Amino acid sequence: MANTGVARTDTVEKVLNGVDTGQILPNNPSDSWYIPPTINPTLCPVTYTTECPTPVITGRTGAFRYQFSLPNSSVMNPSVTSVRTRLTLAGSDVDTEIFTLPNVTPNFFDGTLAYISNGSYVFNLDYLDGSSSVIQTCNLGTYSLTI
Amino acid sequence: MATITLTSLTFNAVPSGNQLVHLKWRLTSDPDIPGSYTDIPDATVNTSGTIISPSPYTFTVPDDSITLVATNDCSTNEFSKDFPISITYKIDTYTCEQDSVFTPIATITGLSSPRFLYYDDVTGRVYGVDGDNVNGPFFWYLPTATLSSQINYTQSIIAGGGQKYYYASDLDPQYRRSYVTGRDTGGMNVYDWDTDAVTVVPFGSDGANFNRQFVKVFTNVILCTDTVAATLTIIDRATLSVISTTAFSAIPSGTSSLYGSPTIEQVGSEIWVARNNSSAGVQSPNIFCYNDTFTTLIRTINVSADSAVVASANVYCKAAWVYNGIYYVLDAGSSKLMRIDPATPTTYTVVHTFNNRGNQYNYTAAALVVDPISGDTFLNTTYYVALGNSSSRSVVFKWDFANDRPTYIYPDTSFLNLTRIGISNQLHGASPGNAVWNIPNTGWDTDGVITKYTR
Repeated sequence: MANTGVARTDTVEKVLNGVDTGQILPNNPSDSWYIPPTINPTLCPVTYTTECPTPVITGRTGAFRYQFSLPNSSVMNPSVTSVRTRLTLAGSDVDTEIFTLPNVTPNFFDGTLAYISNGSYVFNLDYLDGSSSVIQTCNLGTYSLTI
Repeated sequence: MATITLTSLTFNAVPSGNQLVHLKWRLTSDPDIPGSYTDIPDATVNTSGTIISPSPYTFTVPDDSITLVATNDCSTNEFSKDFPISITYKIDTYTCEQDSVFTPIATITGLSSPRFLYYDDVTGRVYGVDGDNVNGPFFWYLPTATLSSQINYTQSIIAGGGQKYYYASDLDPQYRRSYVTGRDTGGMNVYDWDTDAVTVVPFGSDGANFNRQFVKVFTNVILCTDTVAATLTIIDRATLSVISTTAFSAIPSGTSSLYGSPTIEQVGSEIWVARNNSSAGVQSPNIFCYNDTFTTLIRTINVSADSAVVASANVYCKAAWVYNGIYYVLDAGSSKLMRIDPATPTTYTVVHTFNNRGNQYNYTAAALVVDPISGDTFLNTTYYVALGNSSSRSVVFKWDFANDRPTYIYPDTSFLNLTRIGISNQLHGASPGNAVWNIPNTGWDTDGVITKYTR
């Protein structure tokens, strides 16, 4: 886990004529006094990561389809320019897909990788810097795929 | 409310001695007429205008500017003063949002099929309903509970010989009640959160499978159906008296729209019914738009071009909800999410198609869940091999309704709603697990779970 930079107000204190009343109230969206979440790096300084996600595999016959999410601490990491998914068979890449950051849906990634033969494939995710060098590789699992 | 303390009053004429004054106030925004004033206790003032009794002189007013008027027994001596009140709110406690958004902190496992949860401020309990626990469909627990043995169940009324098929349920936090309907419940069972007692609002007939498949709380009424008796019952939400029971056949297209387990939503002043079961009436997956008494079918929205019947269960649309005034319906067979703007109710747009899970889970159901802390919106999505089949997989999407697309995916996560525990950061959500299927009197599945999250 890492801070996104957003501070969420849990409770508020009522101030009457500039004087704290000590009256503590919940901060629900339906309340007239609701204070919405705000980006507040002072209260909640952002921390950066290159986290390895848990993917959801949405197709594994004919094409390898996947979805996963990356946290703000990773997609807003100033060292990371893009992420690349790779499907490998016996150590060789058979297909790759690159998502330049920021993605259309900043935290949500939905993609498809192709393969041409039955086999046991490894699904990888690479964090890349501005020169397309790999910062970190995540092994997201091994999958038995059929044509 | 604001408390105002008075120390002195100044009159137009200096009194010759201590005197009794009569005090009253009105909201400054209200007209200066007698009916706007609220009398407050008299005060005794000395010749300097200082209030000497009671001392201090305090009174309570709404959080708004007021005008105070004081008079003595001489009508010419009148005092008037405005008390502008400034109210602001400042952050008391806050939480730094974490990337995971939800952080599970504890689970209560081994439950049967818990559905909705609601934290009740009055009792400090979390109330819920269960789809198939033989100990009863109604339960409560304290927020500190961590074990299934700490869940307290209350049995339903079993009017039909001891069977316990529960088909539908809802919670009513406003009236602090839980509702369940089932095969042999004699009607709608009502569990009172104050008394832990169960009563029944009779409707429908016991004894037939898949009879009372629908109950839902609306603004002023509760709607129930009995598919076997083919009737729609409207119950007054406040008094729990039956307003009417109407045969499906007496409702325009009612035998098509209301058969089975439809999804019924209030859309503005209309009631929209998304047809769920394809095995009765006209074979079309329509959305039926009624007036609020079901006497008039205002229009029908045909979504057949983007629907596919779920062959195993004769099911069309499996879920619908209204968000920001826009109606959404999810077709189970096609896994397509459709958007209908009530301002242009004759057309619809497919805004998303859910991918099936590895060609293994062909049908999709979903429920809208709103985070009561942040207002964030989620779709609790379940992929089925076949509806009614015990094999399913769940994910939760954080959903962007402005763009009608997912913004985050939480694998293998499920909650049918979220309730906030008081003013804490803690949210509780329940997942019924795979099958919600009662095994009457003998046992129940144990894959249900309550998860506690912090934000």
